[in-house]
Amino acid sequence: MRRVAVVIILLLLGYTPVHAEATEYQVKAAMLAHFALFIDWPPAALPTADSPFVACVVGEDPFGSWLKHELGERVGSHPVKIRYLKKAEAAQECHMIFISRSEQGRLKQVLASLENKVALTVSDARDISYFCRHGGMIGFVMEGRKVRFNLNAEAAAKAGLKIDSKLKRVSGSTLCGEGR
Amino acid sequence: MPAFRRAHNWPIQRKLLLIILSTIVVSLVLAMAGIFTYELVTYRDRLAQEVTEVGGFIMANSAPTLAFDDAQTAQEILLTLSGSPSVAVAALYTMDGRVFASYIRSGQPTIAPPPMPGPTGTRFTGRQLEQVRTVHKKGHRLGTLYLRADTATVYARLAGYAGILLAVSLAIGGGAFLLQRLLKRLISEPLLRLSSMAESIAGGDLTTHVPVESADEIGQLAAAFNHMSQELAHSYAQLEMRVQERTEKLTRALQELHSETEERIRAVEELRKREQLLIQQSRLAAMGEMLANISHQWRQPLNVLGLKVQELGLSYKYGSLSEDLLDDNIAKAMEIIQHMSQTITDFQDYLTPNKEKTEFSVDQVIARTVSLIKENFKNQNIRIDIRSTGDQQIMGFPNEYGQVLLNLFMNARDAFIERGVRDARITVQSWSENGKAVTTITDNAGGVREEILDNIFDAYFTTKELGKGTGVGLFMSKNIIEQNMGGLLSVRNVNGGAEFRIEV
Repeated sequence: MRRVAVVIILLLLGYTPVHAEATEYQVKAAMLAHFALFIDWPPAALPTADSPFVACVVGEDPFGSWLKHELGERVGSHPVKIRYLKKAEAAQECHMIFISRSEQGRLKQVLASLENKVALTVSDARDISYFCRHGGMIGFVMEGRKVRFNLNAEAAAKAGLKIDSKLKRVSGSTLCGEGR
Repeated sequence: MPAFRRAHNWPIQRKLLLIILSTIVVSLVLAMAGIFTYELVTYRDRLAQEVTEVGGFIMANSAPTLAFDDAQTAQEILLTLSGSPSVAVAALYTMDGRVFASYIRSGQPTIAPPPMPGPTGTRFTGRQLEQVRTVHKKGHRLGTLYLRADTATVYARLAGYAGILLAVSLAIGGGAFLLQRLLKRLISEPLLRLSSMAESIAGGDLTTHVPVESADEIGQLAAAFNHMSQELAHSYAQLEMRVQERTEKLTRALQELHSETEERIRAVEELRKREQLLIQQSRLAAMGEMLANISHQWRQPLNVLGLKVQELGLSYKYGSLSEDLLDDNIAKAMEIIQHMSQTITDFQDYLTPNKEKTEFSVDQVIARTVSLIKENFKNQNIRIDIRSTGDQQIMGFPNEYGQVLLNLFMNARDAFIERGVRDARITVQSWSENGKAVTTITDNAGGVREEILDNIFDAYFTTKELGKGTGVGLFMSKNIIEQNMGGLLSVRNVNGGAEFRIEV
């Protein structure tokens, strides 16, 4: 019977248009916004209830207006700020840093410059395992037409970030950058 | 109430069993009714609470799947609802209202989740509960959870309870059977044994003995029964002994009574013979008296007759015998002889007892009796006065009555002679009093001594010299007046004499 139920669900899913108009970066922008929901920063990074949550994009901005749209006004009680940076060194107050593909050639240096920061690093660089091996925490990967992500839980924990265990469940891997 | 009356005659073990069983059944039914009521009253609240808890769990776990569009994981999460059988249908919707993942409870036909979740909240529709909740994280809405639960679990639970009830009932039934056997062995059978023992005791078998098997009430009862039968046997034996003793005593007493009665009869017979003899004697005495009286009566006429005969002889001798004188003397002699003959007839009549009661004149009997003794008494200077006020006619035996009078006159004469009374006088009075003829014979011979006044009517009681009186006269007189004629004979002393009173 369970199989029958699954078939029904798949049929239902099949009739609904999946991401019909959503572009890849619209999805990624939404996912970035959602990461903020399932990750807790240490109190030192967000000392008060109205301390601003700063999201930074290093390199070329692939999101356009989607990022602002998806993040909205607040993450929890914190007002949202978005910064677009040319260089990673400038990422002083960032809580979440998206490293654009434009920085692909300098990934190692960028990550090294962010090494001691309490910030979630995300990228959609082509070699995500390379990114993770050098301290990157979340890497987008494509499964067919679907955007998934891999977690480098160890790096995140090292930075003092607390990842919701349920987030780990929906990730492609929590061992990004390892075992390969 | 016939059913109750029928139950009244049931064996004790059945009654006990009925009481125990009904207690158990009633408590079971009450307990089950309580559980059922509780389940039915509280199932909505409990269902809502359960659904809310399950929903909370599903929402917490499915939030990232909605956030990161992982329908497969969401599906897996919803499948964990199979652990909550009350949830029939569940669905997760995306923010734009698409069904993201859904769950339908297996094993039961049910309707699919609605394409649109509807407003948030918890609603009851019939026996179903629907809950719609928003999935959110840090204030950010991610999607919607739809849950539908029904009362299947409640009924499943109630069915479970019913199964338990059935099992318990069967167990009670088996227990009741064993209990009945036990009760029969422990209570009914000993009681029936006691009962049959009582029957055989009632039937007279006092040697009956029941074994005392326990120390409980029945055992005590059995012991009491044994004691009772022993006591009964003992008392019975004693009773028999006493009955035998009493019977022997009675037999002895009866024998004694027999011999006593024989003796009495003998005595009575003897007495009768003696009485007979006495009567004979008294009759002879009376005849003697009569002869004396006749001789007195005859003395004067015989003298006259002698004179007449001598006159005839002398007148012949002296030649003065005439025809007239002869006729006259013969006529006179014949008259005298006639008179003497009449005297004998009178005495004969007097001595013959009347056979039947006849009506007679008291005064005539008095006059006749007095005429018999008049001459005799005159010679002894005893005067007889007769005073009568009206002639009394009574029913009875006139000769016997006359005998009584004669007896009283003779007694008076004897008293006069014995005491040497001068101017001896007997007064006979007769009158009517209260419809009875009363006759009194009063003398002036000094009366009866007071101390013997009560005894003078007893048989063989006499105050006369030996050989003179028999002691039968007054006894016979009293008998004649009181027994034969239903009258009364009494005596009292009046101035200087005795007064005998006859009432008939």
